[in-house]
Amino acid sequence: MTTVAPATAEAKPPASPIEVQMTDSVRVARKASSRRRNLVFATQIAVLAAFLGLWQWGADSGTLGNADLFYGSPSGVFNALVDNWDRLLASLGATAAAAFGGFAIGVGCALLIGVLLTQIPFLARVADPYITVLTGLPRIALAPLFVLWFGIGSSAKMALAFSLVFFIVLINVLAGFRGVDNDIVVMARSFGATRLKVVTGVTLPASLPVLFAGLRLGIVFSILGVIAMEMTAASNGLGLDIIRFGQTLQPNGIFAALVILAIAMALLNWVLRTIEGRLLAWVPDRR
Amino acid sequence: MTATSDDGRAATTPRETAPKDVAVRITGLSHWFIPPKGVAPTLVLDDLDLEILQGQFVAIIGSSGCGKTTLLNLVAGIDRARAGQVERLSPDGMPLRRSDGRLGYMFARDALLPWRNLARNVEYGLEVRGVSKAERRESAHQAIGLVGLAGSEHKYPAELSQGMRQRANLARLLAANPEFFLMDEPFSALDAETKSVMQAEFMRIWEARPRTVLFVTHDITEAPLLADRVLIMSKGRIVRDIEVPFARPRNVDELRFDQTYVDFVHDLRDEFTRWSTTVRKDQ
Repeated sequence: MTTVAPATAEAKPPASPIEVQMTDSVRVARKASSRRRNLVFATQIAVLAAFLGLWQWGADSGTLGNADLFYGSPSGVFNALVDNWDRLLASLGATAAAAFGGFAIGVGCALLIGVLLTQIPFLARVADPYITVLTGLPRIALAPLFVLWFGIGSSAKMALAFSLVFFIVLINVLAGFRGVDNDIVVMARSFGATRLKVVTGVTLPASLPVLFAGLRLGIVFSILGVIAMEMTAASNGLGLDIIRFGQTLQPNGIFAALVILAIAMALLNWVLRTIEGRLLAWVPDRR
Repeated sequence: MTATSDDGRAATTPRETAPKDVAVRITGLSHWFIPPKGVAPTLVLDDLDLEILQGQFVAIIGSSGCGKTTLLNLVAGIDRARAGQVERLSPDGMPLRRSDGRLGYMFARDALLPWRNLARNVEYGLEVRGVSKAERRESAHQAIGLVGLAGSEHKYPAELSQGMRQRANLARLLAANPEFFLMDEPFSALDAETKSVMQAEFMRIWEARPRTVLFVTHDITEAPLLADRVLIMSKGRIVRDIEVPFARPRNVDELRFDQTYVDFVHDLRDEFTRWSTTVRKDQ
């Protein structure tokens, strides 16, 4: 056996050439990656500015024909936003409330039914063809039925949103549960965990990554359902505003409503991403 | 080396207070799986009888497909036998049910919950049993120290090496303080060094408070190193029941190089090969 000299690193020795080289290369790499990020961001801004500029120029110069009637213009959209601010905000409130309601009920039911189906194979087998058919059905086509049943209030909007969200999330719950590593289920059972404890303590958290993919889709489809219903028949909401602006030939108003929607969706996405980051910090290949 | 009767252990492994009560009584156990259409079912376990005493360390060896893991699953109560009976008894003679949480099952894959940090993973068995938070924390802390992972309590499984994860798995088992250890090749996924360290650690912990162990392994050198009794399985039957003569407490790292041990392993291998060759010929 060879004797290893004990490390005597009491006082910090001067950096060796290779250490200096390492620190330098790390600094250079960091700098390069931050420069790349900045460049991407600057290009994104430039593309947006060029698009808006070209659009404004087309409207002002008359190249786009009667812009106020057909294509609108960035300044026109801005004015429409200012003029209709209160109304658009109220509409956003109505749309968001219905979307959230439909989403919450849809997710709740999908979780409940999903867990039930995974726990009782007989039920899952019976339900399978129905789920396949209903998932394939273009749910937007159900809008007239929901108007018949629920009128033009927010219940009809929520119903359409629900019909979309429910199946999307249900399929993700089923896929997520099916993908859970059997080892950890056997482990939990061997420690004497009851079925309920296995579901809540093991299967559900283990399928969260898949579940979250479903929730993200669910949010988008919930808004889609509500807007679609508002455009079909409703007493308020951004979808209705868009239809009205269209019927009264105000493209700037339509764009204003779309801008509001886009900003709201971006915000929502950010909130969801934050929650997800918190809950799924343990997933190894994230970030 | 001869097959021993059920009380054969006592003569060469003297332990003054060793309890003589039965921990597991298996009678006429047969098992088979429902095969796909057009395939005839085969017996995985064939009318198997076995008695294990309280506090006995029993290792099962056998070539793959001989039914070791199936037997372990049936004893653990994870699967239900198609014929025959498995009786599990706690040291006080009462039936030991899975829901009591006194069974500790550990397999080669670590089965850690990736969303829990090390400490919370180790607490899991106690949590299932409804043990209070303070008590859980204390036991987990102790178990983590025992397997040499102190300081890593807040790390997540993804941040631990394979060896550390299997230590965590062992810590979870120890924290749950089971009456009955069921271990399915617990150290087989480890590198040679970690493996010998964990064998020594487990031996030390177990000898401090011997409990019934049913230990499945395909490593012929591991079985006599740790166990009081080695069973050779072949084609769903226990074909040899061999008593291990080494005294306790054992210094696993010394015993490994002891000539009597090496000879024992040598004989055991011959015996093992005899049975596993038979299997190969038949297939």
